[in-house]
Amino acid sequence: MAYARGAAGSAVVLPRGSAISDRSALIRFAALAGVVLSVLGALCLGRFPLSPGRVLGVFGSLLHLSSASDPVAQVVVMQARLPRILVALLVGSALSCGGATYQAVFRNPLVSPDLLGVLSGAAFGAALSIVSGGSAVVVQMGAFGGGLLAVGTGLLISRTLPGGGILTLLLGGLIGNAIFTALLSLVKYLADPMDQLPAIVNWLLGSLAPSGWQELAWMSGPLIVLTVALVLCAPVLDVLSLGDDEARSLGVSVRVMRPALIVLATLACAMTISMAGIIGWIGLLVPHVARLLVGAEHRGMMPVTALLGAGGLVLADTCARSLTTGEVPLGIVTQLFGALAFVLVLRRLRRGVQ
Amino acid sequence: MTFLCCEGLTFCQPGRKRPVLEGIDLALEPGELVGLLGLNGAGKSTLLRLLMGFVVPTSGEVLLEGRALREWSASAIARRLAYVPQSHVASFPYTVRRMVELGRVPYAGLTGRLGAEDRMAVEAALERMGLEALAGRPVTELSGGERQRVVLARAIAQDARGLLLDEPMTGLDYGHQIRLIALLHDLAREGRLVMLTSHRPEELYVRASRVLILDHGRIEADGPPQDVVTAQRMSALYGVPLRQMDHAGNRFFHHGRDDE
Repeated sequence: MAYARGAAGSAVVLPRGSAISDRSALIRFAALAGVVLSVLGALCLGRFPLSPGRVLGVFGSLLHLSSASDPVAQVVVMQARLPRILVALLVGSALSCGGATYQAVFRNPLVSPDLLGVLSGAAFGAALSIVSGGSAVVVQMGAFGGGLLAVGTGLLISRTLPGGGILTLLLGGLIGNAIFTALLSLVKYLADPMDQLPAIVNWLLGSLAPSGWQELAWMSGPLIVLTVALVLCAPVLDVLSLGDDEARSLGVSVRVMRPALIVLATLACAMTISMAGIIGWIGLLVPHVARLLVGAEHRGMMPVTALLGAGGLVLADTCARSLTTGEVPLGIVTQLFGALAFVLVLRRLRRGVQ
Repeated sequence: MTFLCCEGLTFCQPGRKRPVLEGIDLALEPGELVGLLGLNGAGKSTLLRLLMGFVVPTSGEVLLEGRALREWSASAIARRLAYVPQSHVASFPYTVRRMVELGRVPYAGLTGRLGAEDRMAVEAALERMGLEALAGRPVTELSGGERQRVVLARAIAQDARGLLLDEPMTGLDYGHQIRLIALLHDLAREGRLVMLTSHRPEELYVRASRVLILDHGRIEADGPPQDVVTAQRMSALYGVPLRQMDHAGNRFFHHGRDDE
């Protein structure tokens, strides 16, 4: 057990390590299967339930595999459900990967993607657009721009603080967050209480209801690129999460990599907010579940995070639109289930703590 | 050509009048085990961080293999200098093996897969630090001393010619302290430069080949331990009256009252 002398030159048996990678491959496959099943389930369930056979029939006739036509099912699947489910997949995976990135970069597993104020900024941007009578597209642009503006403000403020490092980033974000929360309150105060204020409140609750093919067409490209970039950057996170000096001693330029990853994750989150409003807890919870399943190493956990986030948000959205005859805003569903699920995750996580 | 040296190194904390370090000249060579003594806040950590290139000196320059440190790329420095920080905070439950594997990042790249040579280096480092049995454990579940050994194993896997350690004894139990200083001694004899900050002059007396005293931002003494680790200097440095006792190649200090 003593630090063996000259052990460096002795014959070393390399570990096969296959047991671990087999397990994580299995979990990845299971997560993928879960996503496919949740999509199928989401296509069937809703206020107008369809049997799996009818859903598959729609795809069959689209691909000219069968001649039978089912116009009702086709409209429900192709116009109402499928685009919405695809948006849920993209938003869920982007939010989860953004959350995992934020957690690693800030070396704090309890961080969620709104740490630097992207949510309050987006809410302010959207509210301002609603009050100035903008169309749905303008509101989306407003939310996206507001989110980036808030994070940019926070980063700029942190630059003016001496010392650098994570603490100044946090403080800058805190101040940026506070500024835009105040501005949001101001817009709400000035808004017409009869129609504008309810519109703002509704928007803040988060929903995938307005999602259609048109939105998918313009947002899917950038969002897929951003999410894939975050997954590819996963190995960098292992080093960045060590601490500034340690990361630099391993040859990683913290000053370049950290802002770059924050920008990537923030862009992804701002896009999801402009699409779907504020959907809380996914970005915080999903990385924890992925870590419990495959371990903390980011190369392994990031793809699982993306899959779990995608499947999880599809399930949550299916609940949101089929639990009641009306529709519960998705943000409420994720908040409620997310907070409850987090209790279970914490119980597992803190088992080792005396 | 000197492996690692600095000339006129001065570092001022912004907003403070007195410099933390002032006019430090050092030439460090592979094969040396250099101990750095000094009071808390004397600037020992700052000196290591300057030598690593983590902070930029106010004036003066650090030269690695004859070239200014700022001309090197970060990963080229990392292949030559490894660093063990004073405290390592484990935020995520990476396995011990993964932590040690990160020592190969300067060679394999951030996204590159580890080759056979990298994995050999990782296994050898784990074995050398007696961590094989812990290799699969999450670092968050380890004790402070075990975690310190993991960070050391990572630095060994990094296979750099220079190894700079900031108070590596902190948090280790007595047995591991003795094993650690013996290990550092071996590493230096294998042809590495090992430099550590320490609060244990007696250990340095036995194992170090060279001891520096840092006081008020300046190098007050620099030489072989027999000349530097003396009761007179230690009394002056730490502000307590000390007497020395030499026995079988060791030197012990004890509190000597002035009236004795």
